[in-house]
Amino acid sequence: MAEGRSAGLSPRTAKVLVWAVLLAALWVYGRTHGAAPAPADAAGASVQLLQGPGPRALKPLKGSDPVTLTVPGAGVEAPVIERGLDDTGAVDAPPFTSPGEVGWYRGGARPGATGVALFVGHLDTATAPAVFYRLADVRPGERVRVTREDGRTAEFTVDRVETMDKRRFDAERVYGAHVKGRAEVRLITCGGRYEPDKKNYTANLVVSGYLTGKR
Amino acid sequence: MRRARVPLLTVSAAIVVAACSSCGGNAFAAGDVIVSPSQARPGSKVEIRTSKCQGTWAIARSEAFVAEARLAKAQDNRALWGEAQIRNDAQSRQYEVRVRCEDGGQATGSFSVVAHHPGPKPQPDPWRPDPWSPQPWRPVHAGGGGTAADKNADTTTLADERPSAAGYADDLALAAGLATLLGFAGHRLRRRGRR
Repeated sequence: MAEGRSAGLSPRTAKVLVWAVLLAALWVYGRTHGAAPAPADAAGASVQLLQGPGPRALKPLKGSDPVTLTVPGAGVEAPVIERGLDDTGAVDAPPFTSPGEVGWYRGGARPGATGVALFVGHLDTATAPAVFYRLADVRPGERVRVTREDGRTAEFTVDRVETMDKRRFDAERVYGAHVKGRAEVRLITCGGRYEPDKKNYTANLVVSGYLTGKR
Repeated sequence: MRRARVPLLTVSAAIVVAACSSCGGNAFAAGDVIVSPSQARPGSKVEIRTSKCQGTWAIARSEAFVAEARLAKAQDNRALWGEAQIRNDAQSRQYEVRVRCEDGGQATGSFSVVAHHPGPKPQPDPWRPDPWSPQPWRPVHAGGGGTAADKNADTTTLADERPSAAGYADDLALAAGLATLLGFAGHRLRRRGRR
């Protein structure tokens, strides 16, 4: 009787099936847990870099103001608004009443043109996630796209994802160009730990990229 | 115009005059006391010179100076000279400088402080699009802390702790399905072997 019920499955087939299932399970495990986390130091600071040279940098485009920012790896597709500096000397994020908007520093480069285009968005408001809530999911090699006023889209490749402690803030590394002559982009939000007594996150998360495509 | 015939001397004189009009910074300050440069920037040093005093020293005072300056004999002639520093918060206007000589005599002069760079706006460098818009220098403030209670937003492990159930659902379903298949296949193998 047992014979009849299991007639359709030979031992060889079953073994192959078991191995296939085990390998598939490992693959699922790998996917849910993402790439190996970058080693973090005691302060929680960390850097992830592109492995290898990465795609070739495209010659910078003529400047045009940004309209929309798209980051598929972080589920972001958001309108962009112009911002200036706040009174501490940082790019002023959009107001908390517009948590779905991304700010672009009008004193920096325009996206796709030579220099660094700076984008700032909230990680969360006082009560809910905001536009850059999943920015930490971005990995080097992924794409960032900015649609501009002239209708063209500038596509950037992420080459650096960094969490930088605010008390050891390297402004030149965050806001300055990494390679002179390139069109670069920075996406900045809060990171590290939230300190409720100071109403402040301890770090900035900075996603850096450079121009590699255009449409 | 017969340029070729302009005498060399005239040209040289013109060059010297042109050069000197910018050396010492247009020391045309009015009065018996000369302040050079006569258009000074806040926080910068100026030279004060007067030939109106008898004696070997004098004191120069001005509202724009950080402190009074002591003038002493210059090596070449009877003039007295010294240096003073313009205050950082000096305003853009004319200031008077008053000198009191060793023998009690007095002399005055005037000069101006220019708080902004008088030059023309530089051409935007393609590298830094607008040199008058500063590069930011502080970390951004971009979070209200509303999600910090669920997870301490440790971004180094954020990928491991995906907050949305939707992100997990299909992975869990797949894992459950595979586990079932594994169990089934293993069961079949055992039954086969026992036979």
